Amino acid sequence: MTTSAHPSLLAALCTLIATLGCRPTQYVDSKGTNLVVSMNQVNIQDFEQASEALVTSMIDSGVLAKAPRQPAALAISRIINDTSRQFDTDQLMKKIRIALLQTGKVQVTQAVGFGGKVEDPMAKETYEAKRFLDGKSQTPVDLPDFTITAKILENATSAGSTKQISYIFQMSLADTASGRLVWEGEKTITKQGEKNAIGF
Amino acid sequence: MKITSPFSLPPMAIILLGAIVASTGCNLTNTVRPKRAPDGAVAGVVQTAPNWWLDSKANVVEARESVVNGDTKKVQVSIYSDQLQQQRFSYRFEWFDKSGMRIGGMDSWKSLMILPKQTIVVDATAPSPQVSDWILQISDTNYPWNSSAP
Repeated sequence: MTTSAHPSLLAALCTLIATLGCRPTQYVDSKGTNLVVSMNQVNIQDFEQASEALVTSMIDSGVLAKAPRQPAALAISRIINDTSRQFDTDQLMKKIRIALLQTGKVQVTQAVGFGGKVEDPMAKETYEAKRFLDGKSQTPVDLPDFTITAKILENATSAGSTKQISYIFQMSLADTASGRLVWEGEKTITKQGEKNAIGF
Repeated sequence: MKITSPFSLPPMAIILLGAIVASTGCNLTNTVRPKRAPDGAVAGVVQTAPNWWLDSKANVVEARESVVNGDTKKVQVSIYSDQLQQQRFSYRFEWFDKSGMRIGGMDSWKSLMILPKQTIVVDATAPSPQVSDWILQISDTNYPWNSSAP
């Protein structure tokens, strides 16, 4: 007796193998759920979710709408990465600045910067040159109405072979008129598992 | 030409076909839009749910809107799971202005856990004061074959 594979069975097998087979390099949605989840570092989706949560909290508080001038001038103060991995904190702060600028309630000043350094030195120099040419050198510079500070912390623990790591994103907004913190937000992202994975 | 009924397929073929159908079915995204009263207020939701399984574990039962920061829309939706086991799903909001143009980039997908018969509230704040409408997308993208990386 001769046994031959049913054509539909073969087709089904081929499709399944193609589905489950090796993964060629491909582009994925940077804001999707099919991203690598690492147990030992902050992933892009962690920055994304932290920045969205913090900005939402800040907007919901309504504090930006209460600024005496609109849009208010914002400056970025000290940002501390206190995790075990080195990364550029702009991965967080740039997202926050983009989202805040989109609200139309704030603009980021380049007239002053933390430690005397600004992100765009040419903007600062041009601003100062224009003030000089306009005879405004003796008038106060455009000081920020608000400053932002942030800190990223890490908390790692394990049980047997299961590891757990939490990244804690803390942020504060200070009103420079009063020197008081007028908003604070915190977002904790916790990951648990034995090894890195794809998808969440 | 001989036409084969699916009932005459070997059991393995049926299982494999079922697995393929199930795996591709997971890919469908459900969509929720606000149903608006004549004054523009939210009077319910309109759900497009091609993924019935996802709909059974993440069904939007209510939507609310408010204004924050003076002029920015905030949306809150209640999502109910009719399942008897803990489930996961992902969601994201898309925002539109008065002309129907999308505002900003899309929000990132957020993954959530929902307990049996639980109703949870998810919320989001529009990225800009120009936002006048929104869509909520709900997805079930945590495929089993993506569960581990090398």
